[in-house]
Amino acid sequence: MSIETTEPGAEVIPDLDSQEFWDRAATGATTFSYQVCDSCGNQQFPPLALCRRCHAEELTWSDAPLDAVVRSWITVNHPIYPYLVDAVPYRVVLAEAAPHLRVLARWRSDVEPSLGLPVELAIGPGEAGPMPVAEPKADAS
Amino acid sequence: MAKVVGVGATPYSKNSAMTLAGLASRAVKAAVADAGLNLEDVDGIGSFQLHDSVMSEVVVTTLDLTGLTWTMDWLGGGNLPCALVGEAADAVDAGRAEIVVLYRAMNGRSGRRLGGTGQRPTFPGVDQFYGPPGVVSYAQKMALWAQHYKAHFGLSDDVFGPIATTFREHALKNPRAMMTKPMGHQEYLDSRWIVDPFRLPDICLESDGAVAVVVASDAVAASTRKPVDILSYAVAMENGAGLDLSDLLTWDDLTSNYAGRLRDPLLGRAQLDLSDIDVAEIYDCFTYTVCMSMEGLGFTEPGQTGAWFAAGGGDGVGGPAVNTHGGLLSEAYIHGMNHILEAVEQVRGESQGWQVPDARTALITSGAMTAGSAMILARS
Repeated sequence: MSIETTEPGAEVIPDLDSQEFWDRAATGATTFSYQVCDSCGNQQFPPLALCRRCHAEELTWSDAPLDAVVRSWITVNHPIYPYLVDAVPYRVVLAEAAPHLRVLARWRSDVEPSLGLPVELAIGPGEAGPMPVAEPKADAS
Repeated sequence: MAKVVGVGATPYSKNSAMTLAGLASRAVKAAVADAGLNLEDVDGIGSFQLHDSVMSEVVVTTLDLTGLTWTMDWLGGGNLPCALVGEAADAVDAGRAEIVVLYRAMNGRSGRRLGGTGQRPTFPGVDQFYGPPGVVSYAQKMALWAQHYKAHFGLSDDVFGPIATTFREHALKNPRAMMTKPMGHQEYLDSRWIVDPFRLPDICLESDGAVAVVVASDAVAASTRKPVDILSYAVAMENGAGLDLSDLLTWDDLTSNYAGRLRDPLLGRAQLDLSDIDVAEIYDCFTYTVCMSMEGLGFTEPGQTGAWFAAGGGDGVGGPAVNTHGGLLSEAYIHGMNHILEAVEQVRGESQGWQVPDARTALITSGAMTAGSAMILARS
């Protein structure tokens, strides 16, 4: 496999809707944060400028625990970038906690993911800085 | 009604050794010549791209076209080929232009590679929620759809193989195709995993090349060699379509894409049933895309597309011939414009590869995930 090794590491580029998420992660917070609509209580991730459900414009960040389950997963064998060469093979799961709250998280477990498996979401260290991580809920594995 | 009157292409390769202007202009020139028309009579031009091609003014300049009355440069991906041809046909029917040429030109292997490969990894927009946990390519994103489908229907690890091997067989008969090596099921199984559930042959090629299509009014078409009817086209987009073309975080059902949403308008406007379709050129950036599109259209039952191909489907018996050119998986990745070219040649009876006997109707899809378009062409 020929992969150039001269590329710099990855860089996240936050925007006004996501800045709070990355600011919290940068402080070392390990809880996963998401938006809650002030008007209808809709839980939302990825963060957006409006509530997807009621279109209200005021949203507040929360890190209250969620009931998330696995909707899909992959095992990455081929590293696209040099900074991921030492990480492969790695797994990423698609977790869902509410109709408008889905997150991709690095899988931190030897348990085989499966549809509907309850998971714990958190923030942990990754190759490109802080990232969402997931593992089976303690009482589910 | 406006008709397709010409198609043209450059060779497909890993290194065109040509500028994008050179590729686009050559394909446009070839398509207009195929129609038997003159470049100076072209009065409309359109294209689509993802920041990886030349705008239409470059082609207008290179080929010294004058008097254009309709132009469109559309930002988007594989969802657009059928939409672009359809919009051009509507423009012609509305009297905005008489002869419109549409192109897609890309140096997708030697130049800017889609999905960021070879570029500095930055994660703006919705990619800030894909990149950090390690989802950094289109293949990885589509693999998340595919794994959900496999788990939902309880399918085996080799379920997508027959799609890849069927299209490879078709490509071997096609002199334009980039893939020239046979691949049976064992070779598929022996290929390396890129991102489980995808092996290397589940993922499309990267190609340099250009395809152009000419649409003209009835009056002009009557004087051309072999016009092809556009029976219908349809576009679909819905809530949850995503924050970019490959975003799946807001799409509810990962077992179905846009195709089920445009099925009824597409067939209804054409006044056809699926059983009337001889050839289906299905957008296939990944094997799994074909499952969603064929199931959404109703060609195959939910969860059964792999089994359908394994049983010999796609060869024109018990359903349409599918991806007669080899598709994006084995012919070339010209972003789905090559599917339109092949469909036109099929219904003309002029495929350069495997010509389906007496093919009269062709259905083409454009797009993989949440947004897409489709078109039905027929022999005039």
